[in-house]
Amino acid sequence: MAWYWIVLIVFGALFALTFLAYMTNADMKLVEKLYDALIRYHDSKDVEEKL
Amino acid sequence: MAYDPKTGKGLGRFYDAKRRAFRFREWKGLKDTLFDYARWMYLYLFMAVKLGCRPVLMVRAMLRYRWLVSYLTAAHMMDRHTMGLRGRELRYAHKQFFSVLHNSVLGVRDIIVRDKNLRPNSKKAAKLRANTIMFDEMTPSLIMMGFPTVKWIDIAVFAIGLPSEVDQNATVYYIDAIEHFGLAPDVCPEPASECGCAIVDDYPKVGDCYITSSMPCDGSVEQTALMTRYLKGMDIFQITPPQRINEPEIQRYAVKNLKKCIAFIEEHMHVKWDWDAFWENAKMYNDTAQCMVEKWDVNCTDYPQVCGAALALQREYEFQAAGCLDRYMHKTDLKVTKMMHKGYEIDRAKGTNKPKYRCIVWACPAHYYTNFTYWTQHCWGVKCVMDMECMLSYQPITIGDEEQALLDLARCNERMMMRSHTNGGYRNLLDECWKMCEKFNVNIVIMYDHVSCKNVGGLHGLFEDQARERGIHLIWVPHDVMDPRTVSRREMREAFNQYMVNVLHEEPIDPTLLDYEDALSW
Repeated sequence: MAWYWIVLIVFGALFALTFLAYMTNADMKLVEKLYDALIRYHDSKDVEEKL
Repeated sequence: MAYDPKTGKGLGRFYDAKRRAFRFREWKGLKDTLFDYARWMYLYLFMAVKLGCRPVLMVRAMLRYRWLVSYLTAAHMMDRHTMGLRGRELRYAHKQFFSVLHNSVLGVRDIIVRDKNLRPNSKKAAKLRANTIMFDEMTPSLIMMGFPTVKWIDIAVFAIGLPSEVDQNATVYYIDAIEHFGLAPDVCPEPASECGCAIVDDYPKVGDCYITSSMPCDGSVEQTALMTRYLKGMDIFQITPPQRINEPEIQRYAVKNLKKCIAFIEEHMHVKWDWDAFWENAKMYNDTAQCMVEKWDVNCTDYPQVCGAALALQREYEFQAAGCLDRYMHKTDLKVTKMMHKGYEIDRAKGTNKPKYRCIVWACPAHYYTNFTYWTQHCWGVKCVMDMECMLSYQPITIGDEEQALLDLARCNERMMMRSHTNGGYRNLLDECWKMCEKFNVNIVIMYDHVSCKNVGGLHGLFEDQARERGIHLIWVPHDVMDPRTVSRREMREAFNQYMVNVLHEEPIDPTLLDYEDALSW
């Protein structure tokens, strides 16, 4: 297989994957999990309120 | 139009009451979807290049600062504001919002590399801090036009202002913290959040001195007092611009005050005010102000172009957070203005894109619902052609005349957010509203009723009486600026729906947007 076909297939696959992630909003659904985990972590911290 | 009457599918289907993220993204037609996808990719690539090169520091910052977590939702913010838009309007919005995100991504990078909390032993970070001034929100950041070698960072904007507009729940924790500490809950949530952030020690330490400002508002006065106690040991300058800004005789005092601030920076940063740099940056400011005026002029016509939050938020951040010193924002301004003129000519020739209803937005808006005017546009066909938030300083700075330039600079500072309208007295808040209705040819005013703002609350009755005399539909939309628990987004929409149904006897353009739950959403 010629090299340009390989490049084309790789770019095509990358496009298909990222476009699928874009349309299904997979990025933000993943961020939601990360966001919730980080907020839970911040909630669990013992923070002193002082000035 | 995004609503399909045959299938009954509208923009409301993207919201899920149990999730923060949208169910999926909108198919906007092939061309617009590909454009939107390309912008989405570009945003992630830009963030990866600018922030991804410091992965360890980024993770540490996420674990140290609660507000930084909200920045993860940048792509959602873009979606919220571009949903339902097509063609040129989609392109204007993308360009405008990306310039804000561009500035904030670089700002976050600048914060994490010099923050004392994250890098207490780094000599490089200490060196960077020695050349950085920390600014409070609502401070005259334009003054940095004359100090090209000194870095400045508005810590309140990065920790509170922007996160609250990206994520509706971003500042709730800080509000609770300061109220738990003893602050009365009727104080404006904006300064309350800023104080809460100080109480739990969540501000980054990125500079060696701090510039704050006075504001004729109870919350802001309290915030300044608390911040100066929080930053004890640090040199602080409080600039005090005049509270009444229309009278010419106060300008001498304003310039004197400005000169004191310049002297403070010169003394603490061991630099001299650079007139050459000032002239160069003033030209950039003049360009951006001119672009804003041109956008207003086009929006006065029957074919408004850059509308809603795309008009307001970009100018707000360009002026306030970037001090009109961001070259990327400047470039974006020139590009969008060029596109806008072209778009206007096309619409005028074809007679297309005339809004069903035109409105202006007045008074302090809800940070947690920056896309409210896009909702009014998609649900009811009420397009916002002017927003008070973008009515910041627009008069040019005189190039070449030093005394006049300082006078102009003082006037620019007097015309910043809050100072010019909501805290600028009834002439600037009340009388100017009717002038804008006339200028922009509107008879609907979305009047944001910020329930904790005493200044605007005092003019409530006068607004109602005078709107009635003029035959203007004044639609009061209550909110609590940064606290969506007091008045939720859903309740804001309901207030607007009630008026459209009961007074204007209108039918919604997209019925799926009439009522939905988005309390959890960012």
